[in-house]
Amino acid sequence: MTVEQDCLAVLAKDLGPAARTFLIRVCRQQLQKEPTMLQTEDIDRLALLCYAGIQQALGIPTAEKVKKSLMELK
Amino acid sequence: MKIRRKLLISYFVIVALFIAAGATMTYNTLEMAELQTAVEKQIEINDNAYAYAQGLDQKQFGTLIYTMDNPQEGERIMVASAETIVEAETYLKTALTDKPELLAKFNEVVDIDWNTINPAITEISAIYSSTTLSGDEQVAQIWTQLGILMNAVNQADLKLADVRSVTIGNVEASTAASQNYANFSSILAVASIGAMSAASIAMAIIMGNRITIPLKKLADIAQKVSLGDLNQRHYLKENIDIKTGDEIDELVDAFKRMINAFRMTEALANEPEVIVAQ
Repeated sequence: MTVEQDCLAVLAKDLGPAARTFLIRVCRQQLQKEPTMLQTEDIDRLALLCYAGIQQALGIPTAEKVKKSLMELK
Repeated sequence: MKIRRKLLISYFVIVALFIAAGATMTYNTLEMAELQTAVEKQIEINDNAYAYAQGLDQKQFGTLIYTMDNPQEGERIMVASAETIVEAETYLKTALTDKPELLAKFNEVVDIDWNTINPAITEISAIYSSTTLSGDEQVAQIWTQLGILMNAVNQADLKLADVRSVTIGNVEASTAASQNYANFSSILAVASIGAMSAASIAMAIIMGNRITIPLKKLADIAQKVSLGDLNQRHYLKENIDIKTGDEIDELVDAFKRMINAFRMTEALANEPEVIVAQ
């Protein structure tokens, strides 16, 4: 599995069908790359960005959970 | 635990109760059948003991007829009595083999018959046929032998009455035991019907509540979410965070994820820069 697929799998557990859209937005706007180009070294920053985005929409517990799961992908 | 497994366990609990009650009642019925067989045997022993006593009385009566100048009719009655006695004796000696006390008592009766009654009858026949004795001597000796005969028949009757009394006691005991089994079966039937009904109702209520209460809450939330109230996520967490360990859990998780997706989609659509620019 690619890093993108791993990240999508983690995000989909909490975001469901919104996971892909969210990942694309974060990657394009913050990491300046396509999700397909994600590397393992991007995961730290991606986890922090996801935490920031999710905690606003869904609350801190969900954001923490997603961040932790993403960090475990390293 | 999955819902199906819970329902199966409920079903097996009720079936187990049913099987336990059925097995106990079957056991009781078998015991009652066994007691019935024992009662029938005791009654048959009693009947044969009575027939033996009747045979002895008949033999005594035949002897009296014999001595009253009617030897042919007397002999006919005695032969008939012998047939009755032999038939009853054959049965009783076989039937009483497992009851040594009764067999011993019956053997005493047979001894009286063979060693006292039959010799007395033989003696009476000899005296009656004697040509050397005078009429008065014949009458006196016949009365003496008849006295011995009657006394022996009385003794035999008393012993046979003892045998019959024991068998009647056994019949009464077996009947009482059978009645106890019948009473127990009746109580068990009522109790098991009550227990199974109570268990069925309890299981139905418990299982119904475990399945329908979370589903009803979930349906209420789905109704609100479908009308645009996405804050139901908090309601969901506080009210339906039930760990039932079955498909309801999975449904709640999926529902939470769906609401999250709605909220995230809405947030991304309304404020994409805020959401992703932190």
